[in-house]
Amino acid sequence: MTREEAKKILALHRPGVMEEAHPQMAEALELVRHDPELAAWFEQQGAIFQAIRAKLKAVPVPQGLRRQIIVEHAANKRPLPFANRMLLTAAIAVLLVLTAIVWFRFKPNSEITFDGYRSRVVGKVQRGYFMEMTGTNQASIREYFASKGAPTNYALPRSLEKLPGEGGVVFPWNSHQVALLCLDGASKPGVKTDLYLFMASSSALPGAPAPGKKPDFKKVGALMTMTWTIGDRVYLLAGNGDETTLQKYLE
Amino acid sequence: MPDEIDFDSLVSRFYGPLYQFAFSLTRTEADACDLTQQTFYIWATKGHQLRDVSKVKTWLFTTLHREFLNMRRKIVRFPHHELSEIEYEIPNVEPAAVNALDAAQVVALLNLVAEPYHAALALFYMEDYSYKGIAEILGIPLGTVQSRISRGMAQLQQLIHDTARQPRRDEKGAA
Repeated sequence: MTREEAKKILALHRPGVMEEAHPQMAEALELVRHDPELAAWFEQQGAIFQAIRAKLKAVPVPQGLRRQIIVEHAANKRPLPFANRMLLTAAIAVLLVLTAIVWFRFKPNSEITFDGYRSRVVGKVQRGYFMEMTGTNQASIREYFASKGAPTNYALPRSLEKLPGEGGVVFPWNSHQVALLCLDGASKPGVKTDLYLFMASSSALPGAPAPGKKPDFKKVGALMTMTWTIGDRVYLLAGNGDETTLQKYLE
Repeated sequence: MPDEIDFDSLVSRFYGPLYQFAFSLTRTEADACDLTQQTFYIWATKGHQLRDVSKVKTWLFTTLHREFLNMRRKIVRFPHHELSEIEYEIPNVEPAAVNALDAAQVVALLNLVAEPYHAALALFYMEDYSYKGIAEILGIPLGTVQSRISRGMAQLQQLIHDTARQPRRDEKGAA
């Protein structure tokens, strides 16, 4: 074995580390004992190995890493990459903003659905509203509607037609005029029962019950509502009581 | 297995060496932290499959190296390195040349060593694994480990040698 061949083998020798016996390591080490120049080189290689090892083992370990690992483990969740943590936070923020934008831009417009209309107008009369015209005469109220550009060619069931009026108001909805006819549905003398009848064009209320369909009932707040359509006119009646109570007004 | 070995104790014992090995591979603190955390996460979920308790450390290093390879594969395909069969020589480097460098510089030089030699060389210097242990961790034959360490060591020492000469050249240039 030459000195150079021995160096190749000895380079793999690490002081203090148990190695599998290299087939020629013993021979190379024996050569070290008899070759002072090789011995000096071998000693220097050992020192270089130790110096490099010391440098690599001096790489500082980030403070908090141990705690982070243990905390993540305790929380039983997959560790979030350090580098991606900021990115994830930013992504969540962007997602929230985009969601808000999309929601406000494309949220269902209550003014173009029948449900929205019913909830809004019936809710409004329960919270309080201003009656523009008051009077008990339904014919006078109809004239008032005509003066406001609201439809007057409505046909009321006999039960409603014979009730005394209380007044009326006209308001816009979806670029159409809606007539609200307020009636006194007193069932007993001296007991006043308000009935609210909203009348609008079916073209203003997409999703309203189709003509000829059975009346549609739905509770809105404290009032029961009943909706039916005749021709192009959608009638929405709201009042106290239940479905049976309102159903009677269709007779 | 994770129930038999206390997780906190395991972390306390090995997170430092694992981080340093990871740092030698990635050179970035964030990636090294991720790899170290990921390794312990995998231990918590799959460590029970290990039957020989004495191999916990090797298991952790093997897992970390595998995760490193997975991470690298996602980022970029490994460039192909021709493993030179040309004879190499170990340059004459004084220990003082190494001592003149700080830890970060040595890690930086280690990363300039050709990729295939890199992990084997890091384990060679940083841990007391036998060549057989290193071969097990890296999943390569014993002979390949020795060959990679020999060639990697020659490259690293050449880099240290060149770095040590650099200031003298600068001084000449300044003069």
